[in-house]
Amino acid sequence: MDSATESEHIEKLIKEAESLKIKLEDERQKLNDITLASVADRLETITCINVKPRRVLKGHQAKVLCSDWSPDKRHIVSSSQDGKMIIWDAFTTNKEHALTMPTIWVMACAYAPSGTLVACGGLDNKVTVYPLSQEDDVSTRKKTVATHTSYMSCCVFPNSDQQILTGSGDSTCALWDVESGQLLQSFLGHSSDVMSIDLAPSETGNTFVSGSCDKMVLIWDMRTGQCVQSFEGHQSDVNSVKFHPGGDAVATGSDDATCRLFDLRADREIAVYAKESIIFGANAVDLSVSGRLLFAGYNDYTVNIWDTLKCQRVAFLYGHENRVSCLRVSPDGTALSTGSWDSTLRVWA
Amino acid sequence: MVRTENYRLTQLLLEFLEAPAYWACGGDWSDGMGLEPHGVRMEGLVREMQDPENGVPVRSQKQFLTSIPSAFMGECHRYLRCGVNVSGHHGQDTTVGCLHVAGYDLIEWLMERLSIEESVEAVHIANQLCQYGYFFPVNDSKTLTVRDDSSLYRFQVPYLSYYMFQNRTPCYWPWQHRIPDNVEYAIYLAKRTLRNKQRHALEEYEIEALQSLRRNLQNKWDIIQLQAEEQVRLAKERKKGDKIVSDSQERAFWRVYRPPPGCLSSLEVAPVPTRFRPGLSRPPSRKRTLTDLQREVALLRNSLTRTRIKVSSAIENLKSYFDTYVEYDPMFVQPQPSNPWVTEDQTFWQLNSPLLVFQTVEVPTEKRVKRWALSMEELMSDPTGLQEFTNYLRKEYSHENIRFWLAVKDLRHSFQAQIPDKVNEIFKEFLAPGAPCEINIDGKTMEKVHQEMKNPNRFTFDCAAEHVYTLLLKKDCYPRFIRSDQYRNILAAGVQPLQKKWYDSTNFILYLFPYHFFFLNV
Repeated sequence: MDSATESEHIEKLIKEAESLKIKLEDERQKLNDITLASVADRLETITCINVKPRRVLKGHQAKVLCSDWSPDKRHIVSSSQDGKMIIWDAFTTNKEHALTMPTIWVMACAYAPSGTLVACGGLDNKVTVYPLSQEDDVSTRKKTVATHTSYMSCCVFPNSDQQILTGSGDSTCALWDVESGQLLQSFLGHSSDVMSIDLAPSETGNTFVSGSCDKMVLIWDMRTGQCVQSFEGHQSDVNSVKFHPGGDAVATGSDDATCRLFDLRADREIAVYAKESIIFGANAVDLSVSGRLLFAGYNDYTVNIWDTLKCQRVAFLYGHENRVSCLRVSPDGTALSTGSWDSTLRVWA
Repeated sequence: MVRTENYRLTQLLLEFLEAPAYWACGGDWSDGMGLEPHGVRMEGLVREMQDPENGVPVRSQKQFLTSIPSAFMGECHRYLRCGVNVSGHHGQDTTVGCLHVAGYDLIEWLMERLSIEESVEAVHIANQLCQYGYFFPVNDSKTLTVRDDSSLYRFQVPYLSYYMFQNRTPCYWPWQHRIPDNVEYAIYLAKRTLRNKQRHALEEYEIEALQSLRRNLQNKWDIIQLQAEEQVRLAKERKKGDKIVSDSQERAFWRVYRPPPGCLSSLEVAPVPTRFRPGLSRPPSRKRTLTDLQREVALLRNSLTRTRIKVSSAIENLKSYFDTYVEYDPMFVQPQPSNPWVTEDQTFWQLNSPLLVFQTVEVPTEKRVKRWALSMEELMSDPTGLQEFTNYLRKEYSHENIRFWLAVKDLRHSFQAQIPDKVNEIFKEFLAPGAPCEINIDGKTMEKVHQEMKNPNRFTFDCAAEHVYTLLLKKDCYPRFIRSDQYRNILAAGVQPLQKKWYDSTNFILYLFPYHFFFLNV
């Protein structure tokens, strides 16, 4: 195809996409029968959220960029700008391993479901896995699994130690075989850096969600590599995405200083969590076990707790002395961990 | 001759240094200039603060010097802002930011403007603005914090006005300026060494910085030195008041951009190519190719035919999910006997450890067993639940289904190299004619499996597994298990750990009435 016909073709497709978007919006609007606010009036207000700081994990020499809970509900892996990855027993605040990475800005780390393996990566564009053991020096057993063409921003083990799903600045997501490093599936569709991914909670559903600097939130079929659903609404980079524990909705946090809730079955945004006094972007979001509370870590050093159903902020947590870069509810919902550019991690309960 | 040369070098350096930002946008505020989104919002807010009519009440330096009684501070005694020539008329005589705002005026203004209820939040926002260098404490050049009292703050020069351009005064708002480079920092430090030792002496870390800059910028050092001298000369021509103000602004600016050791700068950004950073416009997104667009159009077409539910039912779903799970959400209902993070007692974790050897040493809690009845997914995701379910089916001689389902799940998550072998094993054990654990699936599904077997992969048995899962396990085995005596016995035996007394007084009410607060309206 010569370039003239190709650009014509592109022109045509852009027009078609635009008209389809309008039609789609019409379709979605038809079923937009009620607002969350009107339903929320019937709900009890949450009054006694009593989350307090319980632990402070000190040991990183620079900004904490990412963290993840171990399935054992008490260990945490964290990665930092100083090129270190630390395995903590958060309950006792002891450091169990400290690993030096070949790169600074280790932007992503994750615990495998077995709790015996961690993965991390960042500006080196790579995903490296480390089997954890008490006997050997952990770093001698490291293994580079995958390489992207730009930085790796997020990674997660999809209910298995044998595979790893990654998101990257090269605007793709990819599923890799841990043992062979083989690319099992790539996920193309974002037009800018992928910042965050999360798996659907149901093990039978082979889907995951991704958020990107193209402001889009996409739902993917892991088996076919196809994007199956897309959500627009954010006005800036989507920094964090998280499935509602019920699996039918996705919570997001963005640089536009809002968090949002998109419902998969209603196929649209159903809530915006914003406040005039919140002017900084949200870096990380997570939900409580019942899905009622949305925790969001912001660039203004705070964590805001939202009532997802009443669209109200119910509390805010001060403590960090710089941006909150990562935030996770522990697997059993008993605690919340936050990591910050102030180089500490905190556990709240 | 030296004079001309000096002038020419200065001009050259100026061209090299001046941020084109302001001129590029035609001197207009409104252009985003690639501001980080919160940068846009902060600047909007600070501009409103400086509004002569509705902004934060400002006070002149004279007032500050004669220590104003606090009653007077609270009063809205406004002066026309003469700080910066906001209207943008070039050449108008302006005095640089000679006015101050008081801490509590700032806080009050923020609370009203942003409808903030608790002053702690307003103090926090004020501190953020201060950290980003929009204003700074007058009496404290070391720390950038705002207090809710009568302490005074000075606004930073927002952008290059004509006046300032003539006087080579840089602009100090973070996002109107690209990140200043080492040459600028070197000039600033060199300039201070040329001035009054008492007032302008360098801090220890600044002396070190100057020394290392001198080494690294050796070839530029002549220009730097000349520029510093030129700036000192220009400064001497200014009125004393203006000089004090611009000195403090310059100092505060560098306090933000070159913080003392141990202080993190708010302006630091991730070194990631496409993210926002101060003063730089963002590189455009990757150009979309034909395939990108084809993919997008295909997705949109598919989306049009999607079946949707009403927003009201979506919300209802979320609400009923909450109603079901609230008692398992430790943020709402205290776990039994207690939350380990709060009480240091790990019993809760012991009782909920994944695999309990039921009826031998440990017994699951009643609450945990109840959860198995919520859905089959809940049962299957608890290893102890799965174990009990499998035992039950074994007794019924129908556990081939769950074994098959687990084998398929394992296959999906296996190493790539093991896939062909595992596919064969599963086929031999569960699907081949006369297989030892033959599962019962319909002909159509069997047909599909045979098709897929030609090209074995991790999803070969997905259709068969789904059939088994929904038809046999979910609709048949699972309900029978939940109704069975075995399940009832486990439930009856389930322990109910006593809620321990715990001494976190603020949580006391929750401990007394754990359900009271949340089930009022359920």
